[in-house]
Amino acid sequence: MELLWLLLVVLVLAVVVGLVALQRRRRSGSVLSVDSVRRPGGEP
Amino acid sequence: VNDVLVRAGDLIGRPVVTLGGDRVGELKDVVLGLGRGVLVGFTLRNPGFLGGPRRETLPWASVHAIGPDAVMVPGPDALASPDELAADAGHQTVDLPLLTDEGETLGRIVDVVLETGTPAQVVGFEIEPAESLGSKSRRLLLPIDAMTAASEQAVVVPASVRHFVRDDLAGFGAAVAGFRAMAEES
Repeated sequence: MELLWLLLVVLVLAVVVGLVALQRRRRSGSVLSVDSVRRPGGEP
Repeated sequence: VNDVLVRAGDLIGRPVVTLGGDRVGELKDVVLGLGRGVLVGFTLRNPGFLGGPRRETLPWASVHAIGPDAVMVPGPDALASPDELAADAGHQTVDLPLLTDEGETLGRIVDVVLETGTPAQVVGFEIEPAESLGSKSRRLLLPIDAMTAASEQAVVVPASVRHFVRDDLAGFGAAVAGFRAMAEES
């Protein structure tokens, strides 16, 4: 019975950690480029 | 918009506030048109830890001012549809290797330096230097101009950029001007 409770606690903790990590990833920003190619001389 | 040099990474998370005082979101992604050397705009997220990404975007043309604590917009109607920026088709700029046109690796891009005028320009990269640069600084700033070539795998700059390397944003504007003047002459 105690083992089951321990497993349950570990499972809940894992879900919470996963949700926090997922939310951090959703919120994290980055620097993106939408038109990447620039040829020598600057022509498009 | 006030002309200042700013790291793109420093803008991420900055609140977006209307001139009426309403907080409409936070900056999530900085979207560049690296091929044209311009800042296109920003994607947004909702404020607070639980706030996720927003569908609306903020085109650079709609920004009233960028301050140290907030990005000011005229009103809520400054936000645009996602199609305006096409950010979904964007690729990461940070982490790309920076090479010279002579085939030397200068380092890895860790941030992009912007000049927030009209239009806002991409004026340089901040890199973690390769050992070959022999730098004692953990990070260096390099100017770029229209001779820069960028792909999803690497960014290539003229080898002459080595003469304009700086380790501080304070003197970087002069380095950008010097590098661009030299590039125009050659």
